[in-house]
Amino acid sequence: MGGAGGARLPPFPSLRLVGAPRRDVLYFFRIILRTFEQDGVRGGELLILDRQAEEGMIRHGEEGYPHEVCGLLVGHFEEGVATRTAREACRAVNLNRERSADRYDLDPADFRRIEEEARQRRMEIVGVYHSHPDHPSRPSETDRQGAEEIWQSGESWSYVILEVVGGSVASRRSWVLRGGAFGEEEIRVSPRAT
Amino acid sequence: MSSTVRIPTPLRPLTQGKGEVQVLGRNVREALDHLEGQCAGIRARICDEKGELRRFVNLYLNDEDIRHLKGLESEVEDGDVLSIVPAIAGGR
Repeated sequence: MGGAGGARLPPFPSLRLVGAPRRDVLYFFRIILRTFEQDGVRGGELLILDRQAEEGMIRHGEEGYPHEVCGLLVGHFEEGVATRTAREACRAVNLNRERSADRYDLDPADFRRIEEEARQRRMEIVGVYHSHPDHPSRPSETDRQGAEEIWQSGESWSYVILEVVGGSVASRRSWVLRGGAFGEEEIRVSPRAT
Repeated sequence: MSSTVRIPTPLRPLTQGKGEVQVLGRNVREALDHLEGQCAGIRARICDEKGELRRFVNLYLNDEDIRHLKGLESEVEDGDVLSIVPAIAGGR
């Protein structure tokens, strides 16, 4: 699963139900909605993450705080693209220096280099990771648009998002774009198989 | 001129899963025409309605971004490698 979880629940409203029933109804309605969001893992989609790849991403996200960092996950696709195994997290440069706190543009030169190195080792790019400094690990509309430009209606590789709060990774979740919408996928961390 | 086009994962559904396709053409535009002839629909993912390179696509001729050369008119030599590189962007 996606780790330490998403945003906190909203604060509980006043228990004084008389006179403020709508706030209480709204509160429970939001809890129900949140439950659906957190249970939104789609069946059959899985990112198997080698522990060293996970540790590499986390280190990168924390070292780069308070800026957004980005990189690529290298490994193998299995069963078509429904399961991805990421062996390594490869750092890339965020070219967006003006808005590095909340945007990233992955350096295409890094993409080429990482893709070529992976190709020579009979691996391929299976995902992208980036950090959200002081922001939940859910894809934004900017993330969705960026992914849709590349994948259109097809099924994407993994998009891992790290929530970094005060310099420490608080959560990491993985998402797959399909039909123009992101759905969460399961992350399973495995020790490095040598 | 025969050259190789490197296909990124997002476009491989259009190339029957192949990561490389051999093409003919004296410049990038002709090479893409030949690629389209083999993999129908791929040009629309690379170029817009006006025939120009899409904003979220980078094309490298060997090690050079074709935007820094002559764009789609850049000459292709025998044995060159044309890499399609998706522009990956986002943020909170």
